[in-house]
Amino acid sequence: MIDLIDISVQIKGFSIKDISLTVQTGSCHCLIGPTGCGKTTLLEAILGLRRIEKGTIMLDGRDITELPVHERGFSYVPQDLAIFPHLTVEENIFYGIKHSTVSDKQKRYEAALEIAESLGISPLIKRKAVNLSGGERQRVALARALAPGQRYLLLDEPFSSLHEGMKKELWFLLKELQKRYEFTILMVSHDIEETFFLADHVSVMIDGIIHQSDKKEIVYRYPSNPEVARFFGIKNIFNADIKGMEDGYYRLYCNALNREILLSIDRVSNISENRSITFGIRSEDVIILRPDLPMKKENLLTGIIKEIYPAGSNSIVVFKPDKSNELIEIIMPDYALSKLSARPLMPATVSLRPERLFVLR
Amino acid sequence: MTFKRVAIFFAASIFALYAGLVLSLFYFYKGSLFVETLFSERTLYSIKISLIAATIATFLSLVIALPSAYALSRFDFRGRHIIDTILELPMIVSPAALGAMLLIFFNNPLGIWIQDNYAQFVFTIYGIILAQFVTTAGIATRLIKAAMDEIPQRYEDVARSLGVSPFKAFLTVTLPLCKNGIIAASVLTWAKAIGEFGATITIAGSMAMKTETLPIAIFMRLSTADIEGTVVLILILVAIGFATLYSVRLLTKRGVF
Repeated sequence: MIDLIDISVQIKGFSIKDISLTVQTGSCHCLIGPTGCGKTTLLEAILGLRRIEKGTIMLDGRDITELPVHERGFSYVPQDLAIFPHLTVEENIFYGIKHSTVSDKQKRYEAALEIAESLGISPLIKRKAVNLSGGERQRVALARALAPGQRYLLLDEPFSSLHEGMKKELWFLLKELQKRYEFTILMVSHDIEETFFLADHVSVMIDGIIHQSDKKEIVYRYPSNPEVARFFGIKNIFNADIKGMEDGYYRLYCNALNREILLSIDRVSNISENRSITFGIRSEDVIILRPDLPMKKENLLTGIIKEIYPAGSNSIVVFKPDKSNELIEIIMPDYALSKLSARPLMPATVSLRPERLFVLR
Repeated sequence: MTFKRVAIFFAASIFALYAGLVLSLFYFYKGSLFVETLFSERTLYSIKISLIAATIATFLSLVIALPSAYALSRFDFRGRHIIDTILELPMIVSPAALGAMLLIFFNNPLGIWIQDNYAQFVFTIYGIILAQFVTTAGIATRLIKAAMDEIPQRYEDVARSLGVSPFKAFLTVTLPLCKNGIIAASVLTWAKAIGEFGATITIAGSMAMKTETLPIAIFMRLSTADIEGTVVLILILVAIGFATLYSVRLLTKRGVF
């Protein structure tokens, strides 16, 4: 388990402050945030490449804050992979075993070859590393990092330079490898899809501060504040005043939508009446109702569809509620949209399902 | 005229300038004198002392330049920029001034003490080596630092994360990756050392069969208006220089290093 306790790092013109987080053994923990938010700096500090101002780094209960990089026990795959260009693929993979003080080298060489086999790079083993494609380089970097037998893998956006197909292939491969060799991953990424595919636990970092750290399902479903929600691209964020409680719902009045909104009580706790809150809903959780189907009464908004933007298998629908200047973004699968025969300027009714609303503090 | 042609024209001009200077030597070239001068005891001694001094000075320069260049390339420490700037001292002050500084140093109490207790530098071969070393150490450091700057530190970071000590990471990753740069720096350092004149003559003098390196021998011949002899010695120096540079280039190309 990696434990970061109140870590602060100062670099020229930028700082990360009082970071505390725990990476559970055997899990994949993703540190996600916009470019320049300090996530790579934090990763480098954990690895020992950057001096920390204050705080403690614990690894399996051992304080490693002052240890040099080569004694910490983390393997590292940087964004540019840093495959040693003067060595062959085999020499790259064996590098850590050959030059470190790792015990039982023969056994490790055999394990390294097995890892290379799992990654499908055995046929390339005698090739010069400079002659590899992007995907092959990625696999060699992973094999090299895992070969010496370290149990903790630090990945700094390792798939960012790959095309979508190759990227996804490697996501699956990394999952399989983690299952087979039971190592722990701490990964930095700015790719939301990649994060929610690979991670068990997600920490969102913005401007040098961890804004939210939780299981991925929770972070995905309930972003903790407007900054996190905006980073995830959530457009439907509104302010409202709590007017009261009834039948398992909070009654909110939203000025922007010019109407009352119901919010499930189990989504929120310790909120007093007459308080202002910010709430949001993911675009894919907003539903355009079919007139021929029965509908729930809560949070129904009538209005018109302003625009429809096709985006692959989904479409982005911009909905304008009546008596409001706000716009609501809806993401719908194309098949669902075609069933509605939706088109711009068509009147429609949408549902902001109370159980899908989240409160941003 | 296209930009490409203009650029090539200037490259050809540089070649023509140096080739013209070498070719002009042959106006005073006497074949019979060449063999006689080349195999004279005094010339052979000059060649020997030049090769020995330049090789030792280059070796010493590299010994100090490698770690210095690594420190300047990789670490941010107090005084780094001052050290980086002072590397250019041999290029800023003339070689004669550099030699004069050495001479003055050896007339200071510390210099006198060194000469009394360790080795005589003034008017000896040690002085030649020291003059060449002082002239080339800064340049060697600058050249090797440039080669190391080209190698991303990320390679060493990854090596260390694999459990390898910083020194071993330097030996197994950085050094092999900037090998060609180091070879190039060594060759240029050696070439600069073998042609060194100003600092050498100032501290070591121009004693025949003692401190007379090839450049000093050329100067001595010229000062006695022996043009034919001067031409022969220049051709020998040019031949030694080019032969060395060409051999290293060839060996590097064949992957010997």
